[in-house]
Amino acid sequence: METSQPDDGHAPRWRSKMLDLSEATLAELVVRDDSALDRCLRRLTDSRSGPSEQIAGFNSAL
Amino acid sequence: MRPFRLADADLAALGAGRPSAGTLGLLRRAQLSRHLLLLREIRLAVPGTPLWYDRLTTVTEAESRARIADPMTGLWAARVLDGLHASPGSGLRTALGELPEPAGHPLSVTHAGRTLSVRLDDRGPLRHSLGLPATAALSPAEVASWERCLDQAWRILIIRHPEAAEILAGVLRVIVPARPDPLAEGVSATSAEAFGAVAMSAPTGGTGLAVALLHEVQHSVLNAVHGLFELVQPTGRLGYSPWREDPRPALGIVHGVYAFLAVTRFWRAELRGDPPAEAEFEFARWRAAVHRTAGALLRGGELSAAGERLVGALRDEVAPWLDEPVAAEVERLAALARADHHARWRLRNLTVAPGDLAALTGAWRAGRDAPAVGSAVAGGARVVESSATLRLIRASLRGDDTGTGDPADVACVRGDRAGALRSYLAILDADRDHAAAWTGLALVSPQPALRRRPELVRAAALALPEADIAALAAWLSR
Repeated sequence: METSQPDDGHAPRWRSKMLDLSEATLAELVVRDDSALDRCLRRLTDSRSGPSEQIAGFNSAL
Repeated sequence: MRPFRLADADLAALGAGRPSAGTLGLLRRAQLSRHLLLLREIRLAVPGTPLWYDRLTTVTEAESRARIADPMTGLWAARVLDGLHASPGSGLRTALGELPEPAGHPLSVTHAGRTLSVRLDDRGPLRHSLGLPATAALSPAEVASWERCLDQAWRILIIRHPEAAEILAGVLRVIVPARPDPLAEGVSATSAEAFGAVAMSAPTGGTGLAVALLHEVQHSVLNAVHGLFELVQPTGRLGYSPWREDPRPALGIVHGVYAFLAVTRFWRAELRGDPPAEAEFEFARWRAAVHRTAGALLRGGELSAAGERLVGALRDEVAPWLDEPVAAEVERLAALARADHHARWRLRNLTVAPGDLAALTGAWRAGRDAPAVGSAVAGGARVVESSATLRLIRASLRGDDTGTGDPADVACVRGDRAGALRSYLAILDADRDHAAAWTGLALVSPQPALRRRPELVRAAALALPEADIAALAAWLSR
């Protein structure tokens, strides 16, 4: 997801490009034809395919 | 359908490693949203109705949500999408496979009315995708051992680390037993695709398991935050992380510092009461490493605005810990352990360009001052390397006999710098490429060049076999 800047104002908030879909069901999302969902998915898959840290770990030989 | 928003104070609290229950709920909703998006994409990619979709949409809404939110569902969806993108349009239905049923043993431990419930997944096919080789199915005795350790860990956390226990209970859902690494006492890993799942080798007790779980859950939390707000603007540059032997990208370093924030806080809390010297050592060792690494990240120019806010809050959280009293001898050993890791890392991963080396050797032979030359990251795969010096430090803290170690290392750990210096130089007189002796020399030499850039002195010494190493180090330090 893209980094967002805090909004202006007295109580700044950070706005993500990720949509909150947690109230929707999978069936509702599948039938919904919404470009916002497609954009959100594209950002998600782009960030997955970019340079990232897919596996982080620990070993006690440290 | 609104974008996720996070108050600035909540992002700062996340950076300090103290997210509220509300923030953890937001991260779980974000992961559910991620899983829903991925599953929608997979469903739309096939013409018919796959069995997994039927199952997820015909159970009760609560059951469906729980199944979709499961860490292994996120892992499965990510893997399927990878397959779809790798071979679009060909044999989709067979390529997709089916979403495996949750597998393993439900474990539940309760202390003081607080319960931690997880699934010990020793059977699901996705357990092999968490970054460590998974074990075969566990025996009943092995499952009982895991449950016993989990009970001990939970008891420790509830009694002395209640805030950390809340975070753990809010995030951890699945533990995948992994095969041990012969070079480490314990290994664990977390995948960015599986929020709330960790892979780890069998614990030997409650304290080790508590530390490893807190460490891994930090990775899950950070992955979820990074999914909402990109934390870095990577340049591809690799740098030093005090927790790994290999050069790391900025996001990997952020992961390390965030995980060790929780580890440091754990040992700090353990210091109340009557702690073993090892607890004091771990606290002293990591507080400085976390603080310095956070500072390096903030100066490094690769953090996004959100990353700067998170890491800045992290550094502010740790800064007061630097002034807390620790026994002088423990502090000395902690500093030695940090220096040992840094020297080994530089010697393993940094190199001097051939042209620079030629300039150096030419200047030495001509009797001129050393020219300024740089060191570059040579790259390198992940390795697990144990340190003889660290083993001796731990033995010393336990009060064990350290006399059986290499005499040079023993002198180094005892603080006999002059004796250790003589011994390391003697080893290098016989073998100029003795890696451990170069590390030791970097720890005890009075020469700044050796202490700060051992790879440079070693490169020059190997290119100038006739030169005295101490004289060379002095020349490079001028």
